[in-house]
Formats: sequence, C-alpha cells, structure tokens
Amino acid sequence: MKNDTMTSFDLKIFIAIQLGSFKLKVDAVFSRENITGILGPSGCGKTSLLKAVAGFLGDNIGVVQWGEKNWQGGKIFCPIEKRQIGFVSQHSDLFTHLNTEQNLDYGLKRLTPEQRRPMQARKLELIQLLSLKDLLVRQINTLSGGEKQRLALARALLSAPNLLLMDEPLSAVDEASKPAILNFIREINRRYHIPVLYVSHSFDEISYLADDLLLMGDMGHSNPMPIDRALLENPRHPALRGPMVILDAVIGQAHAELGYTDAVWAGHALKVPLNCSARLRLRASDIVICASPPQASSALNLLQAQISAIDLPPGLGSCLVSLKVNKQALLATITPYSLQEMQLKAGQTVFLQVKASSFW
Amino acid sequence: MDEQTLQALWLTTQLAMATTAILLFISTPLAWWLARGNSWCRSLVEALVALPLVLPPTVIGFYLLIVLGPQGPLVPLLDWLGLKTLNFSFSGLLIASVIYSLPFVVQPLRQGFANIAQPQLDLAASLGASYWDRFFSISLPQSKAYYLIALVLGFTHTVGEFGVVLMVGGNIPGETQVLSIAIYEMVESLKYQQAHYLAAGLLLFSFAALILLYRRKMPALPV
Repeated sequence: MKNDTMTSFDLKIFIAIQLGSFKLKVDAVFSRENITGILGPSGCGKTSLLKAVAGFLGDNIGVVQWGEKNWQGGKIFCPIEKRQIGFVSQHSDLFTHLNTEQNLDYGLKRLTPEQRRPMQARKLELIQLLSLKDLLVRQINTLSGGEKQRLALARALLSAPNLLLMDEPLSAVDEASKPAILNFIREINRRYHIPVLYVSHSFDEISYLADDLLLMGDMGHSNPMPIDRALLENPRHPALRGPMVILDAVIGQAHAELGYTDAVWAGHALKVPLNCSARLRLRASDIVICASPPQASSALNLLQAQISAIDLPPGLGSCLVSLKVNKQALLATITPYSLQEMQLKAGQTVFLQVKASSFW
Repeated sequence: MDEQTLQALWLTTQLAMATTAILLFISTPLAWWLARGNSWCRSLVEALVALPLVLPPTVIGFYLLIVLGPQGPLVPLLDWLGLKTLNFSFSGLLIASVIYSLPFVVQPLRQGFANIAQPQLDLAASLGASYWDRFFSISLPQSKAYYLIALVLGFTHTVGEFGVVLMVGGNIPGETQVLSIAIYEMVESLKYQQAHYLAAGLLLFSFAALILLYRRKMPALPV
C-alpha cells in the first residue's frame, strides 16, 4: 500500500446514471498514484463507471474532475481525445481494418513530436516485456484472446496516457498467463507513475494487484481506501465471498521438501505455502479460535490474539470476531453456537490456528 | 455501331460517372446523419430519400419538369446562370439522376455506418483521434465494402434508368439521349438488330457488375 493520503490532485467522480431500470450513483475520490481495484458483481455498473470517467457516456451524467482540471460537469465537457487516458476493455477491441503494428501505433502516431520520443523507447520496452515481437507479423484474426489483450494493453500505453482504465482486461486471458500480466500492470504503475482503475469481478485478481479498493453492489459502493482497510471495514459486502483479510508479510526462505515458506507478519513467524506472494490473503472462515493454547496440531500457524469486538447480526447465522495481533487487525468468523459455548468476550486473549495452505 | 449509338454510350457513361461521384459525395454526410444521428426529423428525411424506390418514375419526372422548367422555383437561379430551363439539358439529366439514384447509394452507406461498433470509435478517441480523424481513420475504411456496393448500385442504376430521363431529358441525340432511350427508339423504329446488340450489351454489363459485387464476401445488400 503505497500511498494512504489523498491530495488535491486526485480523481473526483460524482455521477448519477439512469438507463431504463439500470441505476448507478458514484461519489468517490480516487488516488492519482495507486492502482485502485473496483470489485463488484456483474451488472452493478463497474464498466459504466469507467466509461463515465473516459467520457464515453457523454455529458449530463455528473462531474468528473482530474486534479485541477474539470473533465465534465455543468456545461463543461472535455472531449475524450483530450483526456489522455488509456482504456483497455475486456473485448480488447483491436481495430479490425488495421494490422497488428498499425494497431499498436494508432495512439503513438497521434502524439506531438515531444510526446512521441519517449514513447518510441517505451514501445521497444513493451515489445520486450509483453513478448509482442512474434505477434507483429501476424494477422489480427489469428491472435488468441490473450494475445489481443496484450496488444491492446500496449496500444493504450503507447498513447502516453495519464490514467489507465481497465475493464476486466484479463477475461480473455488463460489462467497461466494472468500473474505475468498482473505483475506487468503493477510494473507500469510503479515505473511510469500512471494511476490505474482496475475493474473486475475476480477477488483473486484485485487482491493480487490493487493498492486501494472500491466495492460496488446493489446497495451502493464503499469509498476507495487501502485494500486491507477496505476488507476490514466492509467484511460483509456482497461483492466479497465472505469476510477476508490481507496480511502484508515479509517472505523468507522456502522449504520445498517440507512444503512451506517462512514469512514474518506482525512480529510473528508464519508458515505459508510455497510460491506465495508477500501479500497473504486469508478467509476469515479459515481461522480457528482456541480459548487456550492447543496441543500439537497439523495447523502450522499459531498466533496469540486479543478479541477487540464481536459482531453477531441477527439472522445471518455467522458471527464476526475482530481480533488484534500485535496491533494488526484480523477477522475470524465462527458460528453463534461456538460463541455461546466458548463464552468469548471482547478483550479476551485467544489463540488462532491457521493452516499454511489457507494462505494464498 | 453508328455514331448516334456511340454518342449515347459516351453520354450514358458520363452521366453515370458524374451522378455516382456526386452521389457518393452528398450521401456520405446524409447516410452518416441517418445512421448515427437521433433527430426527430430523421424518419422524415429517410422517407424522402426512399421515395424514388416506390414512386413511378413518371411522377418524379413530372415534378422535376415543373421545378426545373421556365416557370419553376429555380427561375432566379436560372436567370443568374443565363438559362431559361434545365429541362432537356445534360445538367437537368444529372439533377434528375442524382435524385432518382439517391436511395441506392444512401442506403448501403447508411447500413455500413450503422455497423461500425461504437467501442471502436470510443477507443480511437481515447487514443487521441479527434472527430474527423476518427471518421477518416476508422469509419471510412471500415465501410469500404459498403462504399463498393453503393458505387456499383449507383452507377448501374443510373445506366438503367429510363422514365425520369425520358421526361426530363427528352431524346436529343448527343445531348440527352442515353442508352436506354436509344434502345427504346430503335425498337419503336423497328431496328431490332441494333436494339439487340445494345440491349444484350447492357444486360451483360449489369450482370457482370452484380456478379463482381456478389463474388466478394459482402454484407447482405440492404436494397
């Protein structure tokens, strides 16, 4: 999580859209440095939000402010081509009448000479990074979904964008190539300082990539905030499949023959799966709460924690326990029955068991 | 082929080329507006453009005679040009052809423009292309197939018109006598042999043009 504080150079969005029975209201401020993940179920308006920022939905939908610049609102409408955005959609949308190289160069050719010079260097870099060399001699209609996506991504990045809008860019990409492209998107954000709004319905992608998170659903949306905090503050948001936490750990030595990797989080040594990223993701339902230190167990991780709050909303059948481990927050879900049997109370000290394989 | 037939052939070619050129030029903005605009008067204009498809050529010919004639509303313009009437002249013929063949050019182009996916235009804009840039770099090349249809239909339909041409242009050899009228005259004067050559020639030409059109992988013809 790179940057927690919002400055006056942020992206401000205040829009209201109604198309038939579809309604969307968004009032949010986005960081202009980070990768913001936008997570929500299909049809909740994630794509419309991105299109509104890009200007694809025209005027009369509300206010979009890019730092000091007013992109739209009132009588003002900054044309799409003046916004310097890179848009990558799930359909990749390569221009069907152009070949691969012409597609790649479409934005590049429209830059001023001063803008173009650094982009020429970036083009060589991107051809290397995204392995585009072999694609450039091929016909558009022979490219696979993932190949088209890589090309569309490079095309957007070569138009010298100040903001990258990505709408499910990995939907056509096979599982095996996803981590590499996600790493690449992060690399782009860090290296060229381009903020990214990344829309997806996949928690895996977003929790892997995003610094900040905005959760969308039928009942409205959460505010964009650092992803670990967003998960703690909106544990029951319908866009999530149950409460989750993110632990930013330091990864240590891997023990391949023993099947785990060392990690350190909140002053505790952890055992996590091999090939785990430093951002550990954990379901609250995978944490076992013990009232006293358990005997030997196959769960490799044992953490001492203090209960900070217990939330038992009527009718949900599950009870959310907020915990603190050395001042770091965690969430665990247990049944109301366990709560009753163990007589857990806020302030109580407990022991948490987590299997190494529960982290991912 | 005698000289009069050659004249008719040359005149027809000139007329069809000029008509098609003018039509492609004026139909482009018109078809764009019909395909992508959403003004309340769109259906009105659309119906007007399609009228030549359903009206008898004599109706259009009759009104054109009046409009282009010495008592018509164009008289001030004609005076300025130093003319009495546009009837029975090549210019009159050209105006009549443009009006009569308009739907055959507008409708394919309209179809082509309507088929352009909005995301392609939006993305082009996000990559820095302005309105006109998008039109020339995306819309126009993506409608290429439809331009070919419009070109062939506009040209062959102009070659094939008869009623309007006869009423507005008359039958002045070298000036307004086109092929279709030359054939009519040959049949009237029982020159069947000559009529055969000309009729068969026109038949082959139109047939070949349409085969060429359909041989390419074409979108369905809208007319």
